[in-house]
Amino acid sequence: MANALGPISVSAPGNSLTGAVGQNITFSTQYPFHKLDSTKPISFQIITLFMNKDTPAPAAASGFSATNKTLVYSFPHGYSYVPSSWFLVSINNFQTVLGSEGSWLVGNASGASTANAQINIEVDANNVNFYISKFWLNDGVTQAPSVLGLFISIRSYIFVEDLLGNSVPSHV
Amino acid sequence: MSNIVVTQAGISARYAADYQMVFNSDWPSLAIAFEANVQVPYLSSLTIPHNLGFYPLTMGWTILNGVSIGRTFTSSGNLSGPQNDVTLTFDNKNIYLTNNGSFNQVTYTMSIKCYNLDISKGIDYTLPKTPTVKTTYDPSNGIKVVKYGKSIGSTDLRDFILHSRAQSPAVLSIVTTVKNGIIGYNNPVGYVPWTLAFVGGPGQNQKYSPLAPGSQQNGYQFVLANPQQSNPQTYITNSFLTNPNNNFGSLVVLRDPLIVPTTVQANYNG
Repeated sequence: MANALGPISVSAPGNSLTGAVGQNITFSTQYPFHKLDSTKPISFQIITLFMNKDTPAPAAASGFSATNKTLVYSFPHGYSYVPSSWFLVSINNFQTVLGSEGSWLVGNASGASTANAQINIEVDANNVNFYISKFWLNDGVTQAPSVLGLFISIRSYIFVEDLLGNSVPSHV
Repeated sequence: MSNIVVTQAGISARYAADYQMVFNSDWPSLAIAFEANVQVPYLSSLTIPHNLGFYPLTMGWTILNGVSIGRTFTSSGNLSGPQNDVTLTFDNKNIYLTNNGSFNQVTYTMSIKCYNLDISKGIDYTLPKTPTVKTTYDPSNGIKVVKYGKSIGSTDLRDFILHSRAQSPAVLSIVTTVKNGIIGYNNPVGYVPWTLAFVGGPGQNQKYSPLAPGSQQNGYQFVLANPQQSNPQTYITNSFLTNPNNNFGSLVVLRDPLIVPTTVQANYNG
């Protein structure tokens, strides 16, 4: 039910609890907060990854395309399960934001680029893994994509809550 | 003081700065109102009722072989990949998932979280103060609200509704108004909030889609403010927003969590 309040609820100033929904309920024992553990440094990080070396080029023969994927950074998140996570990616210290996890660093996704490089961020039960995925169509003209020299900035939130779908209390 | 505040250990509730609060009833923090974890086979669609009665801020994580490969967004020029194989839209009743399988012809697991936040209603909250110093957690003081059926002595933070060891992103503003073809938000001076965007258009029956920052292949563009500009503005735009009867969108501006970020410098050396 939309407004079946828990045993304890707090409404926003000026709002009656009766019939209150959404942001007009600022606390309810029905709705757990999406929490960041303030004692864990990995909860909120600004990561700057300098590509001091390029990742290998895809092994595309002349006239053919190929892809590859290289692990470039990893850190343990300290949980024993897959936590929920948010990421933002930039290559100019957040003057502009390329996008979220999965952003293209070189080329673009609109179909025209024959040389692409993408950052993939994957979270398993132990680690947060950062990969560079490359695509190259070896047409004899286009060079393989290069990420050499990039400063990749990543804003990272690792939440306490997992992705199993059972955070909301079972009695609700 | 007419609100309820929970501060970090050792901080006076009466005199605490914004960044010293774990909970403040003046600002809604992101609380999870509905969750689901479902399988979406290749080329299939799924409708999941959330029954919240409003348009909730909704996110979906794409899971393949037990690994989270990212949140799903509307594909853009800066973002595409298997994490977007399953598209997500939502309205005030349901969440809609479709596995288009553009990259992988597989069954994905989708983890959905709907937050207790109605993104269709604009609202603005107090300008925050940013954190300047790290404070330490004192386990001898604080507040814990445990979930029904869980132990108050648990060491697993997932077992708690609220815990003074944890903090959540809080809402600074929700912007829905179209002005001059954009839905925009002017960042507070010296402050870089985390902003989420959701859009919908003609024929979508008031269904919202999550939008990634960056240029879009078609349709909307979501641009996050450059904090080094004098008047940094975050906005959503597209040519159709000049006709708000058929198009709609929402910028959800979040305060950062109150903790200071950890800065990490790393090199890739092969």
